[in-house]
Amino acid sequence: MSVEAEPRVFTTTRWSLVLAGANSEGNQQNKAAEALAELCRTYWRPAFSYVCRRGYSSEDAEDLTQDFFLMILETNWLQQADHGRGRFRSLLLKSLQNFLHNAADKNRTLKRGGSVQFVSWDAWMTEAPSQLSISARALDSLAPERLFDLRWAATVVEHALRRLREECEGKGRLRLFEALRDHLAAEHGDTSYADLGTGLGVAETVVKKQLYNLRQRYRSLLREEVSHTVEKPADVDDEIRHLCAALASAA
Amino acid sequence: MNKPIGPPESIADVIENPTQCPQCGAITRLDQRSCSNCLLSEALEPEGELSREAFERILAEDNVADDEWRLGHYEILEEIGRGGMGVIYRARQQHSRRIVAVKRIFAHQVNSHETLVRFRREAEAVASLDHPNILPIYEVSESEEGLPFFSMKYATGGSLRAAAPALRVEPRDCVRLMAKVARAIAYAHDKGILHRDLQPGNILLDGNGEPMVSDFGLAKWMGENSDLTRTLETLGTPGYIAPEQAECTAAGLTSAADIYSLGAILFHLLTGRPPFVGANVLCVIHQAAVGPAPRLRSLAPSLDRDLEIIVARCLEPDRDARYQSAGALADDLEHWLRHEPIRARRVGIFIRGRKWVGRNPTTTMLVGLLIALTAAVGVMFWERESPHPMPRGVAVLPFENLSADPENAFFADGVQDEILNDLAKIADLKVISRTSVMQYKSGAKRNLRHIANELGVAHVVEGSVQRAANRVRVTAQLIDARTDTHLWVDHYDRPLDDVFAIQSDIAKAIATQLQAKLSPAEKSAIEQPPTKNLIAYDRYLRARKVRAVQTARVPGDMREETRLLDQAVAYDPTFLLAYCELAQAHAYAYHLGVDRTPARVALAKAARDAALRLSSDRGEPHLAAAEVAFHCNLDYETALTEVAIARGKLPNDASVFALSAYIHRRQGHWEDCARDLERAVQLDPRNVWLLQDAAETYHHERHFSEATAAWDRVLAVAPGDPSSRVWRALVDLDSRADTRPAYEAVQNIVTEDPSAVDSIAEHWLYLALCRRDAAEMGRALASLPPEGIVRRDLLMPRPFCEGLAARARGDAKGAEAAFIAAHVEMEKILREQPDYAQAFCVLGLSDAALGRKEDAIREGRRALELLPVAKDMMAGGVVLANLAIIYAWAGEKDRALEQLATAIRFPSPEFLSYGQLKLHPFWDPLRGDPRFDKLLEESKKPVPLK
Repeated sequence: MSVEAEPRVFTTTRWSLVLAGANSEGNQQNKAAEALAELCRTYWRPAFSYVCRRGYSSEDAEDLTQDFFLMILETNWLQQADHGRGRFRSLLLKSLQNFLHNAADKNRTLKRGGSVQFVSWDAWMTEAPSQLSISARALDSLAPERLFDLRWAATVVEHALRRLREECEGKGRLRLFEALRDHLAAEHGDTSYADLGTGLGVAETVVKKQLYNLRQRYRSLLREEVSHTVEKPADVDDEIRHLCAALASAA
Repeated sequence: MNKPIGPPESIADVIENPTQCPQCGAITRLDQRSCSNCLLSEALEPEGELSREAFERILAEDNVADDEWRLGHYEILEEIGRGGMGVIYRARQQHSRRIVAVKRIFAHQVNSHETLVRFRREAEAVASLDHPNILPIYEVSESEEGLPFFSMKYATGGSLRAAAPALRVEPRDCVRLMAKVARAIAYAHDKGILHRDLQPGNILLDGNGEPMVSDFGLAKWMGENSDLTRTLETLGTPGYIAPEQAECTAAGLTSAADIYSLGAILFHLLTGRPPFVGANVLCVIHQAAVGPAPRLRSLAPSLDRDLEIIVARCLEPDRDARYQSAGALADDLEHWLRHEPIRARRVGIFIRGRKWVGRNPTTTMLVGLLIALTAAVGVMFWERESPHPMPRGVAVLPFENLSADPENAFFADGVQDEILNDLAKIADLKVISRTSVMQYKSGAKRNLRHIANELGVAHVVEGSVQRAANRVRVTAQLIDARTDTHLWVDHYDRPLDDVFAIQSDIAKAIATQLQAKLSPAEKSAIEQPPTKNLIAYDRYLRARKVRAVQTARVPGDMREETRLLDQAVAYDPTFLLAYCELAQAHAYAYHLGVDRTPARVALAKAARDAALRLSSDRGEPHLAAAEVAFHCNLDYETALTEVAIARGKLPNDASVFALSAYIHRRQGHWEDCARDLERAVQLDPRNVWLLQDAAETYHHERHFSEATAAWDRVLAVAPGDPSSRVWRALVDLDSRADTRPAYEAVQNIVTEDPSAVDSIAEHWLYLALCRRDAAEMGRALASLPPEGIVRRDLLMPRPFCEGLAARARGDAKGAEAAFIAAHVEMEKILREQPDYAQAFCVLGLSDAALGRKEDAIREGRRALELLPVAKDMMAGGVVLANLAIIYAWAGEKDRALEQLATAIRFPSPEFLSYGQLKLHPFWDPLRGDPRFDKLLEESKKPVPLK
């Protein structure tokens, strides 16, 4: 992965690619493998959090998570997975639960290293670290499955934000992004367009317009992120609602 | 560097008091500001979407100035770090589109000429360096506002700090990497440039994991004087800076400082932490100056000696003892990699010794004190028997309870207690017993050096426990209290079931840190959890707490204790320790007179047998067996045998030594008793009961100078304790027949704290009788408990005491009535407990007082039969003396004196000191007889040793 991030081009959802490629060969299978790798690269953190919450030490959780994703990427995972399919998120969680259950019994003999590097060190360094905060009580009381969903939801949001930022940065509007980022969520009383205008050196009307612009784009990116993990466009709303519920439950 | 997944992180940042989002009420946040729920909910808004092209087009419509995000011809992408003086960005070079790192100075520091100079100097210095392992500087320039900045290679591999955990599993990789760094530093030194701030954060890695030294922020041309003032911020990073950096001027530093830092970094890579850690910067610097650094293998035992030597050589506090050049260090690292002999071995580098002695006054002082006490008391001390001058000592202090539920305080105590017990099994360690450490409650500010001094150890363990739902979080740290160095710390966050594994892990880690040898048997004992049943464990902990907070053995408490323990074994019939505690609880109940019935003995034995069935390998069942044998049966043989077994397995258990001492005492083995008592005191130096027992022992044996020192020792720990104060004063009465100190002590106590008089009533009466002070006798009697004086070795029921007082003040009628009442009471007791020797003593004395000579003598002899000195030297001694008094009161002077001559050879609580013989009314019938005077003189001497 080059350090200078290429703009991402998505024509079809990754999950649908993966599903399509499950029983295929050749080019379609390659595309499926790539798409799956990309998904894993994006959503490894919820899996890691789940393993941690299940009681493993940080080091063990790292090893297990890594082994898990290796298993997914190197075996014909989908074929073996339960064909009640559904969404990437639920299937991943189920597989992870099974994996942990089996891993507890026998020594993990999967080899590590090798050629699969779905998150390279470079890419890791240039990506911003996750910054989710949660109350201590919630962290203690949430079941691992809920925590998985919560982290998943956070990941979706973070990715969408990150892409938005990159798009702004690419157009030399990073400062604008930074200034308006906190106001992306629906209008609340403390958005003072006047203050923002002063800070940015532009008129209030410009602020309103660009904020609206950012919000629209952000919503698109958000929905796009979610759509990559479901099979049908119709599932997107439902998935988002599920994730919202996960975030709200941490109250 | 090939790990596919990023570095470990916590599940999420935890915020203590989360504020709710005013919109939706959720409390999870991103970047600590935005509500993640609201952000996500945006996706459900119906207002349509926007393509990228449309978005960018609209963006471009307004010129929202992005000036700050340019420096020279670099486009600033994001901030990646902050140094002491400026900011570091990831940036893009406009024309080439190359990604670089840009460092610029803080705007608010612009006015400081010093800063500008320093900054420019760094840039120029490093720009002149050209080495594959030194981060290259591309350009040194100034922004439009005149702020200097420079651009350098962007290291995509991050810093060594982040990569360190992954590297630790491969020591060879660490060494290989540091060899390269050392070469790079050697190159810089050759060019006359010192780094002065080498630390893992300044060693960056490129995409291939190659190290590149950066941030020569404090670079200095060697040989150039500088009068720039140094502030703490610009000293370098504590933990890695050489000790002389804190003391020297810039001019005084040499390449040795960088070599030290290289050693510290290597140390970190191999062990996971820098050589010195501490609560703050000054603390760390101080430790580094005092030294020596911990040995590498004390933290990472699997590494080899040569590596340890290399690192140690770098970390010498004396810079002349280090490698003379970074190149020499690199050479040795490369030798090591090639499995060749290293050079450092050949040089005599162990000059540590002389520095060590000079820097540890506390330890030497402690040893001196103990030796002085040895000389005074004349017993052998532990130190003389072991090869170390001072055994590795550690005290596990009470852990803090961080659970929301205060009920869990005892759980935290339980965790601490288990760790303590585990460590106590290690013969190579000296571990302070529970009673002494429990006094240092967590929560209050603790002065660790002070505590360590009081306990006679060098190290302490502190920690915290948080229990929530089915999880437990434990943090533990080991601290060298002499220097306040944190030697080890670890955190555990596990399911509740794992709590025992956590405890044994902590114990083993601490043992490793303290370089204590752990035998396989000890290791196995530590790893064995007390029980698998957490409810049983809960009951057990509660029972222990009941015992721990007892200030006196109260029947109600004992019932509660046994009730809880019964529950514990009901929940887990394999719970060995609960059975042991149960056996002890029952045995004590019998011993202390709470319940002197055969049924109680049976309970004690049943619990003991259950324990022994579960395991005869562990020490605890044998200790329990010893307690039962001793307290219930006075079976010294068995008790000593069992105690010897227990001592082998529980080398740090003060109660084992104490019990051994008491057995010896009863057998009249005075030297053994004193030695074991002192050992127990060393292990449990703040245990007031133990200290009192020791002092009383010396007192009864008429070793009064030792007794004085020992009472002073009690008062040092418990200065207000009324009975100890009076005891201390009684030394003067018993040794010299001087009643004044005791009288004053009693008066003071009566004035200061009237409620405390019941704890000194017995002494008060004794004193009053010796002084023939009728008024005092009356007051003393009034403060006696209703039942009078009831102790194991001494029985003086109330009517009997009244009789004594009446007789002493010449009130014949009153005396008669009282002694008759005493008689009646004793007869009643003897009907129920016909073998109660002490009751016969009282009966006999009462009859003697009432003129019933034959009865009296017969009863006195019966007591002797029941409790000869051969059976119990202490209680038996009382009986002997008692018979002498009976003879005296019965008019049998010769036999009285004969009996007294015998009795005087035995220790006897409160009967046979010089002072007592001289002053107490007991002995009035014998006064004037030259034989009695002779015995008076005899009584000045200590009890003859066996």
